[in-house]
Order: sequence, then C-alpha cells, then structure tokens
Amino acid sequence: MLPPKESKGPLDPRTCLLLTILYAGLIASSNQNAWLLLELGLIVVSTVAAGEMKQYAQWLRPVAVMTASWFIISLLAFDLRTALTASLRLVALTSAFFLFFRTTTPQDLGNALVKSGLPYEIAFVLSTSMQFVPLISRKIRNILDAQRARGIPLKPGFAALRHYPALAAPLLIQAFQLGEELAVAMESRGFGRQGRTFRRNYRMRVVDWISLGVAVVLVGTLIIVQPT
Amino acid sequence: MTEPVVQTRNLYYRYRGGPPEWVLEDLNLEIEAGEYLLICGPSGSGKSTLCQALNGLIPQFYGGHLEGEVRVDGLDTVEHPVSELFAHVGIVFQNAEAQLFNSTVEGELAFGLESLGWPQGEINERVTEIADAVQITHLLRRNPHQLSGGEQKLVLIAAALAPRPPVLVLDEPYASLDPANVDRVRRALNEIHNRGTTVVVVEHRLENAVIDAERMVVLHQGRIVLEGLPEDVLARDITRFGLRPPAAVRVGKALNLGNTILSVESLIAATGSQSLPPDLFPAQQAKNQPKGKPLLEIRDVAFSFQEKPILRGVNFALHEGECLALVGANGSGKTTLIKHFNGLYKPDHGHVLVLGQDTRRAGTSALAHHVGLVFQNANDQFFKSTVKEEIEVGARTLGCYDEDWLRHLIALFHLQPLLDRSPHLLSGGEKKRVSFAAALAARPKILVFDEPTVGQDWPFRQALGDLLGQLQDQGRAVVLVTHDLDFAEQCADRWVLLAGGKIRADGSPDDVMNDTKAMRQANLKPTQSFRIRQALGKGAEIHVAP
Amino acid sequence: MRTNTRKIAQAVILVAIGVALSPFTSFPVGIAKVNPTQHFVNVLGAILLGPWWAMINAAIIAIIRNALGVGTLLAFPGGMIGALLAGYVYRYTRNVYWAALGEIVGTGILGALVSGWLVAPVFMQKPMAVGVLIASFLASTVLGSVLGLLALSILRRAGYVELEEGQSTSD
Ligand SMILES: Nc1ncnc2c1ncn2[C@@H]1O[C@H](COP(=O)(O)OP(=O)(O)OP(=O)(O)O)[C@@H](O)[C@H]1O
Ligand SMILES: Nc1ncnc2c1ncn2[C@@H]1O[C@H](COP(=O)(O)OP(=O)(O)OP(=O)(O)O)[C@@H](O)[C@H]1O
Ligand SMILES: [Mg+2]
Ligand SMILES: [Mg+2]
Repeated sequence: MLPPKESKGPLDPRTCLLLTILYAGLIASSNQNAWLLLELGLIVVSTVAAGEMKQYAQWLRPVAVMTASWFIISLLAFDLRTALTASLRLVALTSAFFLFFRTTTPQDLGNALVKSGLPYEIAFVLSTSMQFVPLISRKIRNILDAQRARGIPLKPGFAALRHYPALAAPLLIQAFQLGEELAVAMESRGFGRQGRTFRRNYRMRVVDWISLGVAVVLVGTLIIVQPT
Repeated sequence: MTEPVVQTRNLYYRYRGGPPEWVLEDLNLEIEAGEYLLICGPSGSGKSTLCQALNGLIPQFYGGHLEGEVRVDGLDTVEHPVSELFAHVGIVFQNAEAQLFNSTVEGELAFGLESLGWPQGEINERVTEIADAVQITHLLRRNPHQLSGGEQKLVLIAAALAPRPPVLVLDEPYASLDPANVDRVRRALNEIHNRGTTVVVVEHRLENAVIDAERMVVLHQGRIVLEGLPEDVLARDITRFGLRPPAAVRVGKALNLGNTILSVESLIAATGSQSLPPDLFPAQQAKNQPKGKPLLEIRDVAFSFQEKPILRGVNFALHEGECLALVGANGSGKTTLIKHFNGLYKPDHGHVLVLGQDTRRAGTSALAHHVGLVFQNANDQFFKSTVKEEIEVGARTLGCYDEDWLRHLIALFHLQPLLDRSPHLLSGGEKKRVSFAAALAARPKILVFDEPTVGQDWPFRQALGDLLGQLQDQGRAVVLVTHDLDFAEQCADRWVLLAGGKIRADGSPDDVMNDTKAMRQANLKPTQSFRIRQALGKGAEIHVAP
Repeated sequence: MRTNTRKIAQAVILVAIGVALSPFTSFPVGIAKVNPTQHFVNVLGAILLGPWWAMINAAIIAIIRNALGVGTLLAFPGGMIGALLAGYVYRYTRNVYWAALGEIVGTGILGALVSGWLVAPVFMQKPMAVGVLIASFLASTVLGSVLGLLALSILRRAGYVELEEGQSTSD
C-alpha cells in the first residue's frame, strides 16, 4: 500500500491528531457493545467519506485475524460479552488511528508539530525515512536476486531468516554506506545550522480551534452520559 | 587579476584509519571565477576526495589529517563550518539517490535556503527562479526518487545552485546515464556556466567533457600531473595516467593533423578527404564466424510489472562463443530481461530456454549451474568475511565445488593477494573482479554482466575486454548489458538494441548503429569511432585489418 | 554540531530498514505473527544512537507502518518501551548483551503489559490473557534481539561501528 499523497481536509495536522486522541479516549472509556458499534460505525462512515474504503478493506484483513485470536483468547478466559467488547474496542481504536494516518501525511504531521515545539530533527527523521523506505525495499529485492542467482535460496519469510547473513550483511553494509552519503549530503545543504526557516506555513486557524472546542465538549459529555 | 575563486595551497590529506600514504599530496590548484574546469584521473587518484575538500567536508566531517590550505570564495575551509561554506560552493556527489532526501523536488530545492534562514517569500521566489533556469519547473511537485537518472541530476544541480554559490562542483555527473540524459545535463551545465557560475566537473569519460571544458587537470596518485587547455593536455601522453583520449583525438593524432582535435565534427572538417590508416581501430571480431550451438533461446517473451508492460515479443538466441551486447536507454528493460535468463523472473508469455530447458520448469538454483549473472552492484552479494569464502560459497551451495577450477579463476582474475581480505573493504574495481569470479565458480556456460564498466577507469575496461575474449575462447557465451557503447563496440560481436520493451535491431555493432531509425527510437548516439569511420573511411574495409 | 548529522542520518536509515525489511522477515507462528525486524532495529538503535533516539525511531517506525496501512496501534508499545530500556541498559553497562536483554524485558514483559492495558483495560487483573500476550511478544523480541546482535557484529567487522572508543551515547 502506498502512503497518502497529501493531507486531506481543511484542518491542521495537529488538530487532526488531537481529535483522534480524544476519540480514542471515548472508545477506551466505552463499555457497551452498542456504543462501541456506534463509534466504529462513525469511523467507517468517515473513512468512506475520505475515499479510503478500499485501503481500509485491505488493512482490515490482517487486523481481523489479530482480532479473532484476541477474541478467542478472551472467550476462553472470560465470557462472550467481555470477549465481544474487547474485540470491538480493539477494532475501533485501531481504526480511528488508521483513519488519521490515511488522511494526514507524516511529513505534514512532523512539520506542524515542529511549530509546537517538536525538535526539528525528529520531524526530519520522520519525513526522510519515508523517502528511503522504497529505496531500501529495492535494495532488499536486488540482494535476494543477486544471491538467488548464485544458488543461495533466499526467499521472503522463514528462509530469509535461515540464510540471514546472506541478506543482512549486504543490506546493513549498504544501508550504512547510504547513511554516510546521506549525512554528507545533509551537511552539504546546511542541515544542523541554527535559525532554520520553513517554506510552508502550519497555522492553527479558527476552524481548528472551533473543531477542537466542539470535540472536547462532545466527547466529555458522551463519556459522562454513556452507561457503564 | 582577481583572486581565484577556489585555491588550494600545498594541500596534503589522508583519511582517518587509512594507510599512511597521502591521498592528496602537495596539491596546488587555482580556479578562476567563471571558469569551466575538468578534473580527471584514474580510479583512486583522489578526485572525489578533492571534491569533498572543497566544501570543508574534509576534514570537518571525515576527520583525518589535513595540511596546507583550501580557500573557497575567500573563506578558509577549516575555519568556516560546512553549513556556511555550502552557500559558497555547491557540490553534487555521484550517488543521486542518497542526496535526494525530501519528498518533493520543491522541498529539495528549498532545503538549503531554509537552512540559511531565508524568509518564506524569498525562498519560494528563488525556487521558482532556479527551477526555471535548470528547466525542471514541470517536476517541482514530483517525488525526486521517482524521476529518471538525468532528471535527478538536474534537481541536484538546481538544489546546489539555489543559494547562489559562485562555484558548482560535480563528481562524475554522467556515470550510468544514457546519451539523451547526458546531453540534458551537459546543456544545463553549459547554460549555468554561460550565466557566470564557475563549473568544476570530475569525469572519467572524456569525450563529452573535454569539449565543454576550458581547462583540464589530470590527477594521478593524489598529485596534479598535467594541467592546461584540453587541447594541450590531450596532446601529451595521458594513457600512462590510466586515461584514454577520445576517439577523435586519437584519430587526429594518428593523422598528424597538427592541433589537437577534440570533436568528431572538427576532425571531419580538418581531414578533408584524407582516408584512415587501416590499423587505427582495434580489429573487430570477424563477422559471419560459424556460430556454435544455441545455449539460450528467448522465444516471444512478454513481461509486465503490475500491469505495466516492460517486455513485448522479445526473440533472440545466444550461441556458444558469442559475445552479445544488450544496449538501450535507461529504463528500456535490459535488467528485467536478463533476470529472465536464470528464472528470477518468469515470462508472462513465451518461453526462455536455457540449454533447451524451459525456465518455467526449473528453479533458479538449478539454472544457476548454467547461467552466471553478475549484477551492477557487487555489494549486493558480499556476506562472507574473506574473498576466498565469497568466491566459493555459490559453488558449495550448488554442490559443484571444484578446487582446480577455482585456482584457475583466482589466477585469471588476479585475486591471489586479496584472498584473505574482507570483500567489503576492497576498491570498486577489485570488488567487481571478485563478483566476476564468484559468478564463474559454478562453471556456467552463459555469463551475463549488468553494467560492468560503470565508474570504472580505462585500465579496468581494457582488462575486462581481454577477459571477455578468454571466456569466449572457452566456448562460453557472454551477454553484456551496458550504456558504454564504446566498450560494447570494442568487445561485442553482436548488438541487440532494446527500446520500448521490444528488440529494434539485432546485428553487428555497425549494422545496429547504421539503423538510424532504431537508434533514434532507443535514444542512443553512435560511438565516436563509428561516426569517424562513416565519415572518413569506407567503413567496412577498416575492420578487415589484422 | 557535526557528529549529530551522522547520527540523524543513521536514524533515518535504521527506520527505513525497520519498515522495509518487515514484510520479508515476518512469518506466522501459531496464531501470532512473528516480526523480529522491529526488535532488531531497536537493539541496533539503542547501542548506536542511545535510548532516546532508539525510542523515537521505534515511534516513527510505528507511525510509518500505520500510515502505510501495514501496522496497528500496538506497534507503539510493542517497540518504544523495549528500545528505551535497551538504550538505558547499554548506557550504564556498555555491554551489548545486557542491552539485548533490556530490549527483551522491555518489549516482552513491559511492552506486552502496556499493550494489554491499551487494548482492554479489563484484562489487567486477569493473568492468563496477559500471559498469552507476553509469550507472543517474547517470541518476536528474542529472535529480533539475537539477529540484532549478529547485525552489530557484521557492522563492526565492516568498520561502520566502533564501540570501544568515542561511541558515546550521550545526547
Ligand atoms: N572514507 C574513506 N576512508 C578511507 N579511505 C578512503 C575513503 N574514501 C576514499 N578513500 C581512499 O582514498 C583514495 C582516493 O579515493 P577517491 O574516492 O578520492 O578516488 P577517485 O579518484 O574519486 O576514484 P573513483 O574514480 O573510483 O571514484 C582511494 O585509495 C580510496 O581507497
Ligand atoms: N520491481 C519493479 N517493480 C515495478 N517496476 C519495475 C521494477 N523493476 C523495474 N521496473 C520498471 O521496469 C522498467 C525497466 O527497468 P529495467 O531496470 O529493466 O531498465 P534498464 O534498461 O535496466 O534501465 P537502466 O539502464 O537504467 O539500468 C523501468 O521503467 C522500471 O521503472
Ligand atoms: Mg570518485
Ligand atoms: Mg539496468
């Protein structure tokens, strides 16, 4: 699956993050299956609205497996109702964050957080490492091909672990070489110099504050109102 | 006279933990403002080291021991940090991927300006301006890692130039680019130079670089050994420094044309109707030699990645004793095709037969007995702690370890002195030799090399050429994938030209280069020596030379 | 600061490995899926970059895996705690084996407990479900930590890592 191209919606990434956390708080505090279902339903509706349904379906498959095992464990340990609640809560929580990450790019999140005091280095590692993931994946494929071409049977999965050095040694050494070249390139463009400015603005606007205010009130009320 | 924009005075340098010999030794170099300088020299002569000394990375980032002085734009590179110097000298290093670390081209161009703390408005203005100057405006929103090699170089050039440094330095900007991309980068550099920026290019491949440059410096074992106008430097014997003059220069010299001639055009203009002495070009393999039996047959192969067709209806056969060059532009599918030879990829349609066996029915391990594949990047395969183990491991896993044959290989590739060393710590050329030997360890009948000459100097190419000849004499078939048409012309008796996933031409190098339509489709340019032969000799007769 | 640039570049590379390698090394064991890559990166990060960067790396890997749609919320507690603990243990002992043990305890026990709490606060008091979580987390982290130690020796032999002198992990 590809990462989202650009952040969606009018809100600042920080607002989206806070909203998601608030919502997660609501889910965590819900103990009723009906409420959890409602909360999950709201996420699914928003996912459809954001045009992420296809990705959601894809993502859901492994999550379903995880949830099923979780369900079985809790069913064995407790009763059906607890097992259902626990599984629903797991799905709803992870889905909330799925939606957040599919609608806000890590770059935007990182850069916006820098404005709120996150050290720039951390935002840099966040956005830059995303850039290098496809490159490293390609290197891994090339290594597998190069080794298989001379008879070392490397395949993804357990075989990759059995012939671990044949994959790990070329990968690590090239990756660290790449790191060295990256460091050189960063130095050569002034990384680490004091007084960095930013090309793009991340500002909390009125909509952001209003949405946050509404959300706090709403979630607060719901947490108090909902039956336990 | 104004002060030179770059000046090194009695510069000595060696790396931390490296051997005690100097890597740069007593180096005195002055570069005038507005100059276009070419720095060349064989592998390991210290070219990249010199580049890194120009913006203070050496010694600030690498450590090591530096004596003497380097001044750039009036600033001493030891006293001023790299994060200040980069605004005075822009450097583009060789590996483009490692240097592109932003998610958009726009971000890439802005990064240096952001470091310098420019105000937002000025950053955006400058990004627009520099993108326009290098003609990459249409790429601004793209992800740099998804661009072609040539485009990536242009982005790096623009990023380096964004803070308006008076000097731009490029380390091997043309390596692994096809001719169309080389031309794009060359045009951009000439344009930048015309606007007044000092341009310094480090290159092995002289034929383009000497035409653009105003001055040339030859580096050998860390010292400047020749320096002057390209014409004057090339008039001397540079082969003893591991460099090969371009074909036009060699022919001009052989014809005693007086002034050194740099380009094919001026050579043709200067010679008039003079015909070529027959022994000028190394004899090509006699054509029409009886072919051995077919070892590899590609029958109507089609292949696609995620619905995107890469190969379509590819057909050819490879015979015993043949040396075939697979040529084509960047992204034309050459690497994808050779991965079919040993079953790493299976065709969507059609068949690949190795010694009559369909690759669909045999595993890659079984096919590895017959097909040796040497990939471009030797580092992709090294994982043992000594060269000896590294060469043996393939043969051992395949169960065809043969002591005598390995001894033969070690002698053939001159690996005796390296056997107990770690393969990771060898030089680029040495690593290549180890990977060649490793590919041959299982005694495959077919040997495939992907871009064996990238970044390698002339002595290496010459040695490789000899070696390919020996392999052919043993009855093996060799496939060479390369952008280096000079090398392909010298070594291969047959070319297969790939463009748009199809074979557009198949024949002797001259036949293929004569097919202007196919060459245009593939975006390739004939070699200098071919153009000279076409213009001056009655082409064909020349090959008959002994 | 000069050395800082190198450290940050290494962090970038480690994160990229952590994300890119996981589809190649994960395989199912029973009902759980074992993915040792995260813990392998944790051990390397803890030793090369120190506790805080190791933890930040783990957090970033979790964010990216979530953004790519290949990870879930559990990636956060499953990676960050072990990385932090391994980093601190290495800082005080200067011993790579202790660091690996720190990762194993941090992920296999603390991480599993926190995950259990995150997913279903109810389960905190019930030892059995937590036991299952601990077992599956332990399987991943033990394998990953062993591979991490192997990786470290590869890098040392190739000269990219010097642990004796100068490899200070102070931030
Ligand atoms: N980081 C390093 N540490 C130690 N030695 C190095 C380092 N980089 C280069 N060297 C050594 O310094 C010498 C000069 O290397 P350099 O890379 O400058 O050569 P070059 O002329 O650029 O060669 P090439 O054409 O192969 O790129 C070589 O002997 C090389 O092994
Ligand atoms: N694993 C892959 N997944 C998707 N597309 C790929 C993959 N490998 C290659 N391609 C695409 O296939 C096309 C052919 O690639 P290939 O590497 O075979 O070209 P090439 O002729 O070897 O180019 P170069 O001269 O640059 O090495 C390119 O457009 C490339 O983007
Ligand atoms: Mg070099
Ligand atoms: Mg290729």
